[in-house]
Amino acid sequence: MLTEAPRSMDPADQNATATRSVLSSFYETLVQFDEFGHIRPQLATDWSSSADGLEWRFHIRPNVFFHDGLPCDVDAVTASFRRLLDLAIPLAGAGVSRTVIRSVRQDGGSIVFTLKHPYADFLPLLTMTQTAVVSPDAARNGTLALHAVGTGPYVFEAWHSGDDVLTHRNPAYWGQAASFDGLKWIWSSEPSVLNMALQTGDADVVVPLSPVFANLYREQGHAAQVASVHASPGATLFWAALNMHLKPLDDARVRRALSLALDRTALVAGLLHGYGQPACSALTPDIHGALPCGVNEAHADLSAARALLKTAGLENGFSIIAVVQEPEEPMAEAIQAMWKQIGVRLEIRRQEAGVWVQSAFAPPDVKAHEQTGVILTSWSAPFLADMQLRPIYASASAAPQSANLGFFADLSLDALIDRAAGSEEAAQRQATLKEIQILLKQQVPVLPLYVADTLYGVRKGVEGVSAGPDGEILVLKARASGSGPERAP
Amino acid sequence: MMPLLRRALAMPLMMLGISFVVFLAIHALPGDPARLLSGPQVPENVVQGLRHRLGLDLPFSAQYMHFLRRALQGDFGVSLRDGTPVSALIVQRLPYSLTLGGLAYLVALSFGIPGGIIAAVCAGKWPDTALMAVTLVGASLAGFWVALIGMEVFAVRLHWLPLMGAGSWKHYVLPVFVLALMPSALILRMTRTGMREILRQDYIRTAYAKGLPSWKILTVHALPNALAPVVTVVALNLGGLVSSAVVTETVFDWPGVARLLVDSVRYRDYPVIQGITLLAVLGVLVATLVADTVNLLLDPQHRTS
Repeated sequence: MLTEAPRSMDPADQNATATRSVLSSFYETLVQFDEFGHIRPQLATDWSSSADGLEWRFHIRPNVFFHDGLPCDVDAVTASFRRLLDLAIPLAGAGVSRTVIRSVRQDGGSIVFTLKHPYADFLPLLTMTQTAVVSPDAARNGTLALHAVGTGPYVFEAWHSGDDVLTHRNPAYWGQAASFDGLKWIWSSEPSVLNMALQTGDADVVVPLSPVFANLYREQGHAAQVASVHASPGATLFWAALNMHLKPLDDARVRRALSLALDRTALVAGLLHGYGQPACSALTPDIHGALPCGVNEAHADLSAARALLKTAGLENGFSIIAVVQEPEEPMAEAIQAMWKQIGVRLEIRRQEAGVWVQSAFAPPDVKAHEQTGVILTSWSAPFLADMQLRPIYASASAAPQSANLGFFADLSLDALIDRAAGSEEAAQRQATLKEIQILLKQQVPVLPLYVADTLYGVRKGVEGVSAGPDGEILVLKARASGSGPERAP
Repeated sequence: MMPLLRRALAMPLMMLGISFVVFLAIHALPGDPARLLSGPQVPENVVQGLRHRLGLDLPFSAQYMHFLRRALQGDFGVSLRDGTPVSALIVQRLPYSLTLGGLAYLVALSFGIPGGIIAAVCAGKWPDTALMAVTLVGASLAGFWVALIGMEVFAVRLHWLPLMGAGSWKHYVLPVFVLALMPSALILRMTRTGMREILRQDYIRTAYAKGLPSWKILTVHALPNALAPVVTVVALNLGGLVSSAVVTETVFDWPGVARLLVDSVRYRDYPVIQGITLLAVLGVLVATLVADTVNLLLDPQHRTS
């Protein structure tokens, strides 16, 4: 059970975590991460790259078939990627692939990608559901949005819009067959309903479970008898963008003061009930080279913050406006209380999702008119350092183009991001990433707050469920483990 | 009868005017459907492509005329989210909402009218006080809260009722109860007020003087005359029922039209919002027309007015 309905059955035309959870049972990618975070083969059996990192060759697994019976051979895989790269087809999830990949072609029994520039995250990019291989017939007929046709262990059966998505086991699956006859995906936007559904047995797996309910499953009681809750390290970074075009936020000393006044440990304890970790840098812990919080860095340093404000001539504080969506409102209130201690008055404007998107992605003149200083949001791009940096910090990504919501522009940072993206050598890349993070700690265009764990609940009697770092629930290896508890009517 | 006929004939014109207002209001909602459907991680040029594909970059007047042309043929377009025809989505879900709403009104009438009569007859005595207290609580409680408490008690703890979804008769119990709370209170109070006024009339006193049995006086002579405002309120409250259904269907995962509306508003799925809103407006218009007709039948004085 998820918190929102899938947005599409077309893997290339979506970017939502809940949608990816559903689609991962139907579709497969060329390569995939294993449980240790290493790349392993999936539809590709092996691969190699040219010395300059611009050409990548993949051999396609033989004897794999789509759910519609067509072979998933090199022709089909090439067609799937050509569709992904076709600029004439608007696909919401194709953005990164189109930025990175110049062309794709067949060469004998293999498929060859030519990149626009060396891209160290190319293999992680090919693990993303957005790059999953789709049936050429379904793509040609334009039915993918409503009817999934992939090669995965479960076959799409029906999507009752607003109600459920039904699947059944793929009898012709090339790998280990799925344990269950079928899966049923349901959803509710109300967190307490997810909690209750887990207890009554209306759902065997719920994700994400609100941290508020997590302790119920750790205590003695009905909830703990029928289900268990699991916390998986997440890669969803919660952050606050600061509008660089708005005074006094255009002053780096002020931005640093705001960062110093935050008690990130308290945010994790209070808002996540401990299910997460403070974030002090731009990269999440799953990235090699991500800087952890330094000693006391996650705690507030109010005297240092006040001193910085004083040097900026703001010893009496100032007022700013934050725009937030409903789920982030408690976070905004906690920050409001923390900043109040250094004299900064934060006005919180809670907005409905559509209104918030309009405010957050507004260009500088609109944000100046609305006096929007702070935008609270989250971002998830596990294992993809470039995707955690470029959309949020590169000057070309300034809103409304992408998610650089505070209009930060620094040419030296742009060059560093490019260098990190093209750097194949691990040590060199990590050194560049470190340089980037230090620069961002000095400039503070964004306030990293915390990385939340993915909390999911599983009924007794079900095992093998896991969660990906971006909150995607993985049920392909799920199986029944003896008899579970009785269910409600 | 002429005013009713005139109103019936004016309904298409009213629907046309309302369709424009609804179209305007929906498009005035802040939030870009293309951006919402794409998600925040998508570059603007891709969002622009989607905007073009969905026809959202056309001028407002062109979008409205396009909508109107198709709506006149019964085609409300397709969902921006998944391409399903709006009419198909509504037809699929309408029976669930009608059943839920119908049962809720049935419960509300079954409780409200007898309760109102009892309260009026026993005015100032304990049954009246008790019923008034019940209606006060019923009208004051937030449906959302009652729904969650009901689910926790009857589904999670007692296992008497299912938690969510639609299927057996048991699935109806909690949603119907929650949805009937507000109209029950309203109908009971309106019936009580109407009955108290009628019971003070001379013809009722005469009926008692003639020795007619109380039940006959109350049900045959008083109630029909007291019901006119109740019928009007029931019809006008249909809009309120739709908004209550939004909460009820969302919490109980009820596969009805109101839940579809919530999901559609979240993603600015204009065609679906328009289709459902116009359907709700048509429902209220028809309900008020039916209410006026029923009032006419109940009260002969109306026929000459």
